Amino acid sequence: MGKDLHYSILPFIKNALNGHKNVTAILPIDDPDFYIFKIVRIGAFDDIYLVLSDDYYFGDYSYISKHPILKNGGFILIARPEANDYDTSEPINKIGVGKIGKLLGALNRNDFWNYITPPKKYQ
Amino acid sequence: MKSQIPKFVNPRYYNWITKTVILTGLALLSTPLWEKLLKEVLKKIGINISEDYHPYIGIILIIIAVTFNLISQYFAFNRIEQKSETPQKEISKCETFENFYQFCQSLIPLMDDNKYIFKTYGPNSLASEIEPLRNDLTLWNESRVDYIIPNNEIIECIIIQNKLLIPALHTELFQKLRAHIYSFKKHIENPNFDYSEYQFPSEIEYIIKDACYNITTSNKGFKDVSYWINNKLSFKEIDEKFIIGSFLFSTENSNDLDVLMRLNISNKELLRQLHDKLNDVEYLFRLKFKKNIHLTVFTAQETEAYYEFLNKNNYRYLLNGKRLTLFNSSFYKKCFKWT
Repeated sequence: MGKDLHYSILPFIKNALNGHKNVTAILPIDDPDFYIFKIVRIGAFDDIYLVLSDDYYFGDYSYISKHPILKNGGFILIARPEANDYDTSEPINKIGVGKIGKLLGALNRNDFWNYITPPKKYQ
Repeated sequence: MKSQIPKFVNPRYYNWITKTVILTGLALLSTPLWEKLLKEVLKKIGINISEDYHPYIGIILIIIAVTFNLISQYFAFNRIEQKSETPQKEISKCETFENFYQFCQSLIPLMDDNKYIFKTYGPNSLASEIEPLRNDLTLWNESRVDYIIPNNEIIECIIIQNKLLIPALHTELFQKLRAHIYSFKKHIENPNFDYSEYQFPSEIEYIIKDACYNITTSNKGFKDVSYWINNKLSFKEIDEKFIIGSFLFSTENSNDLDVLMRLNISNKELLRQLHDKLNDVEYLFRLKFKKNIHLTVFTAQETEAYYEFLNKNNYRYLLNGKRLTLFNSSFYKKCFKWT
């Protein structure tokens, strides 16, 4: 993981998060190798550490290489739109992994790591 | 034929045994000379050394050299430019170039940028999959004006400025691209303007990338990097590795080196161990080449996804892991081919 993201991705993500009803602030955390944010949510919702992945393919190796800030939980956002999705079933680590759609859904729960994206409805 | 002679006279010392034996021999040969030289130099600055002090002076010199090396490495690493907090759009200019290769290199980032924006924000893209943005193409409409149109203007200017460099075989294709740029702009100014007959000529991407790939991958700079990375990534856990991405088209202008690899392990503990080793390689690469490595890694359980990914990358350079040694017969065959 690193910071190799297209210039349009960060504004797109920030825009989507700013529009979320539960998000009150997106605080950047300085790191030389990763884009990291602390997402402050309203009321009883806990804050979430958000680490952006710039991987073209997010797999088991990417998950192993996760940032140490996630040791007590957080969300790994697969930031590249062309990258794959990734399912992890390790609720003990309290880590959620997914794309922007999953993150926006997960922000509605305190146990955000257990959130599963509902199947798409075909029109 | 000429290039083979220096190769043989000045062989590359891949083999550690050869290297050690040669260095020992050279050290033994040069000891009396060094001793004499050192004594003369030290005498000139007023220091007289007796035979007993030689080992101590040697140790002091080694400590000085190692300290110097560590300090230099520290400063070299800190000099490496870290990416700014927000990724910025690369600034491209309309320039006149010396050859078709340079001309194509200047077009790739602009065309890739347009393609990326189209795939990300265009109709049927990721943006339209997010609930609040469904049926809302605001981002696409904004991106067309903010990014694609300015990119297209530079592309057109580069084509006009360098039209004499375009081979006759491809002139028509570049004309089609110019027609597309013109009609696309007209369509944005007036949405009723139909530009369906002037679609982007997709084959032009291959013409441009082929030209860059063929020349870049035969450059010395590329060969040096690929040789280095191939050697450093000679871990038994890696079954196959490729260079992919922008480095294949321009070694100087690419931001980083993309390496794709397939592993023969899936065990988490082994993956962690490999991760530590790969981190060291990334650090050394950054020190040596002042660029980052971007790894795309597939474990043994992700082989199917690996081949799917591989097939999507039309341009790739296999790092085959073969290491030449002084005892490698193919090396000698190559050297003596001219005899």
